[in-house]
Amino acid sequence: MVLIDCVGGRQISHCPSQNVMSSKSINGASIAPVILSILSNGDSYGYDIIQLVRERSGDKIDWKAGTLYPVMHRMQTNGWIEDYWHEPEGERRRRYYRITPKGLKALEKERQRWLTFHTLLTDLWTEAGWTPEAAR
Amino acid sequence: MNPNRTWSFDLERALSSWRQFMNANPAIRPDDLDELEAHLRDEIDRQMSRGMDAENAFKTARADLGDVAELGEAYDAVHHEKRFRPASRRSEWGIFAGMMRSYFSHAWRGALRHRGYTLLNVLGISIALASALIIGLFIRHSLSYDRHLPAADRTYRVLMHRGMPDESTNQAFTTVGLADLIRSEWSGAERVTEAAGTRSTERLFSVDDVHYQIDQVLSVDGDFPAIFPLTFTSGDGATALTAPGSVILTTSTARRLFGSRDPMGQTIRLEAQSDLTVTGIVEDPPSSTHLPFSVLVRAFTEYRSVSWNSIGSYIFVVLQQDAKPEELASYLTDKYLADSPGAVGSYSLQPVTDIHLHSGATDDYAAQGEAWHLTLFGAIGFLIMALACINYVNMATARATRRVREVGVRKVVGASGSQLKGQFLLESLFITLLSVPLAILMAVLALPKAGSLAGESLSWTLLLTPGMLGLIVAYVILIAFGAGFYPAVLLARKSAAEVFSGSRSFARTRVSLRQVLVGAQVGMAFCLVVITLVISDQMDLLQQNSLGFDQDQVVTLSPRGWSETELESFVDQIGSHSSIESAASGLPLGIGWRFFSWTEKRTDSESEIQVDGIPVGVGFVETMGMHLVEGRAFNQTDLTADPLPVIVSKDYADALSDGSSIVGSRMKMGNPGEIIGVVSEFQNSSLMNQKNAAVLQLDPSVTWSLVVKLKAGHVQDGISVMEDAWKQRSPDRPMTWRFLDERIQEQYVREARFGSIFEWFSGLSLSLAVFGLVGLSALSARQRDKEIAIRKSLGASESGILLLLNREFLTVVWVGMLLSAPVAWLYGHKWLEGFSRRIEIGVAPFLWAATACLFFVIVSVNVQSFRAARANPIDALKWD
Repeated sequence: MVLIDCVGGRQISHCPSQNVMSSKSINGASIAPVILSILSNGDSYGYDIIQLVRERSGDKIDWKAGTLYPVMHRMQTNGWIEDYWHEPEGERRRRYYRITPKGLKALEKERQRWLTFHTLLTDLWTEAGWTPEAAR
Repeated sequence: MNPNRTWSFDLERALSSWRQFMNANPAIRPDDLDELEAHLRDEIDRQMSRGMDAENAFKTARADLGDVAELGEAYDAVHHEKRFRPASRRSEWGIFAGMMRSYFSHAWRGALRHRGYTLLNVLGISIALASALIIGLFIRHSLSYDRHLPAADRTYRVLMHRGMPDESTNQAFTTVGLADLIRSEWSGAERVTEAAGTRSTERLFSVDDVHYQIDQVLSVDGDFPAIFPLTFTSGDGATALTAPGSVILTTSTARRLFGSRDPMGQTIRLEAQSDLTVTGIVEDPPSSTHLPFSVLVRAFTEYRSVSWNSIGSYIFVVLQQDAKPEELASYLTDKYLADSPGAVGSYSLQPVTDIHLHSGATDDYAAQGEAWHLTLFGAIGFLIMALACINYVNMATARATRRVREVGVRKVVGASGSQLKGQFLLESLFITLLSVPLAILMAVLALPKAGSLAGESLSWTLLLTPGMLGLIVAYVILIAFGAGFYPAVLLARKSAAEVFSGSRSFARTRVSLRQVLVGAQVGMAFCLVVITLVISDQMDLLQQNSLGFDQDQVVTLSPRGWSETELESFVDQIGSHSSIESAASGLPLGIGWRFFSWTEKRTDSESEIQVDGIPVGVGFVETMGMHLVEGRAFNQTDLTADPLPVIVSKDYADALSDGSSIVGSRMKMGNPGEIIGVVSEFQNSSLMNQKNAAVLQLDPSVTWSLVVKLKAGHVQDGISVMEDAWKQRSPDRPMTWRFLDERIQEQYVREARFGSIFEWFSGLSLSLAVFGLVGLSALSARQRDKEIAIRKSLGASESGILLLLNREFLTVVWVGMLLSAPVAWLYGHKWLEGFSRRIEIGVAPFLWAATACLFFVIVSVNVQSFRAARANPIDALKWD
């Protein structure tokens, strides 16, 4: 939650110190940046996003439609993404989502944050002599 | 798959019925539904491409979407949430206002969507709030007694302590003439006034030969208005009470006596003896005075010198700023002891504002309140509010499972835990605010009834004072916070990931807390019911015919100004009539009346007995149905004996006996009359008091009190016979008569009211507990509908299911009742201690209360459970 709070442009005073991020809340916190990242590669629709995330995560992350769609609507109200109905040749009519400039900005902020953590953790793990191979 | 199936699955039909079903949820908009359908179709395609058949693909895909209701809540949460703009572009206040608006509109929609629970909560909170308001009003009113007096903090009442060196006896009725003594000889008093009367004593007033019995008549001196301010509507306040024989009426009394005529200067006859002139009309005194009056009579006699042995006045003093009440008390004590050699006793001063709640004195003008009642009622008010809060907490946590997705979505898109807490607290605040108008309406409607139960006149206009409005605000915050805090923390704590990983575990783990709260609720209700039953048992005991005499069909009369011969002829005349069993002069028994009271040493020990001396006439023992143990009753020839003989009670005879019969010996105290008989022990005062031994003294001079025993079934005849005989002797006075058993019961009016108050409290708390259980069992049954369906499909019977659902509540209810039983016993016992004759608290009230509580619990749980148990399992399972 911590991250999202700050990304939306809303500065909540107690934000950074709010709580220690658990591995569970990473899942929740990552939904929005993941969606934004996917959309930054091109417009997509909900079902496709879920499939993509499932494939790319090696079936480890399985979002439910009932969760994803409301989140996407909320991102829409935030002005990060917009939707349009589109019916590609030979396929069914679907609601597509496209990232907005504002969404790109939000994504950039998100990216910085995640990168910061990524760099930090990689550093720490390298120092400890952990490699992805060792983890396996 | 069923191989015998004769129909084939139609995907389009399944999809369209799914759409229809989803459409019923208003939170899901048409384009959302289009999107969901496209998603569903995509998933079906994928499953089918993997070789699954259409039907199973459909089911898998649909299950993947999630529960319809939860989906709806999640959608609802996003659609109605206003977008937050960056802080820089809106003021803090703007953000706050926007949030509030959003939260309240969300709360409103939530309230509408779950009408049943909203109704149960609003109703429960309204009842609690209304009860708390009335209790608050009552407490406030009780505490405000006599604070309106201009120098309330310097005004004192003189109390007298006689017979004991310490202050263990407190008499409010004190020495006559004391006011004048203080006024003329003690410099520290600013004002002194002397007043006499008792609130309930009716006095006869006649205007143009029309008679009125009026109570609350105070006989006062000219300084009364200086201490107890009067608001004159006619007459001159400075002079109205100067002349003896002046009378001031309250506006309501003036209307009663004179109607629309102008009463000023008119003549009123008091007790058919003396003429009074109306010199002033004043507004009715406020209800918050310990000294309410309807008529103020300027006393005829001026007590110019103090007479230490005549008792019968209330003395009120306003001290000067620098004077100390102890100084006046010791001045009076010293003066008394100096004037009466060998006397034991003292005087003290009691702040006038203490009289209502901490009187502690005998002979108060009117029955006063008790401070511990205020504490008790205040505690019960909080208890009832706690019950309503528990209902809210229970229903909110039971519903938490359904709101988990809403919380998850809010968190993912950026709500912090504290914002969510705020939102859920606002929801409880919203429900509480919805209850306020209903609560005020209930309170206003219930006030007259509540006021008469409490023995106070409570007016709804008191609700509009700033203090009460502040109290309403305080209650609202208290209830909103008490109800909303735990659910808010519980819901806000859930992290988004727990929600999305499908964990619903917390709904299960919290069942135990809900059960504890339900147990507590029923325990509280049980406690109140037990106390109510104890009170009612005790009241039954008080009504029983076991006072040692027979009060049934006995009528008391109070003639004025009759001679002994007049009285004797009256008794003879009515006694000979067939509708009248017997009649005699004498004080009525059972209401604490006596001429003298003294202590006497027992023959066999150092201890003393308290004795009441009761003057009676010939025929009294028979009329009162007393049981002669030894000797004989009075007869006409006894009247010639000198000194006059007496009859004693059995306990007196036992205490004073030296082994041989007491009959034939003479009294040691007072006149040495011969003891001619012994009657069974009897209770002369109220059962709140100690039972004293008694001596019935033959005394023909008591011509102002009569007891008449009527024949059963001839009450009307008897009364008219008495009235005829009365008119011959007192043509200018109407006969007033009362049934003795009624007068005896009147002593317990306050206790009876206490009982009815508890009936209300237990009813209210039971109904609140029922509201909570109905809501909770509905939620619980719905939460477990699938479990129930599966159990039924596997062959569980309806009764088995019912047992399952009941078990969830019944165990905790038993535990709750068991734990609260000692509290009930303790409080019941405390109340009973006020009675000298009291019931023993047995198991019966506990069993009855338990039965009643269990009955209500079982009924309210099963209204819902029965439906759940009866439901066709297909309905619950068909979508999975």
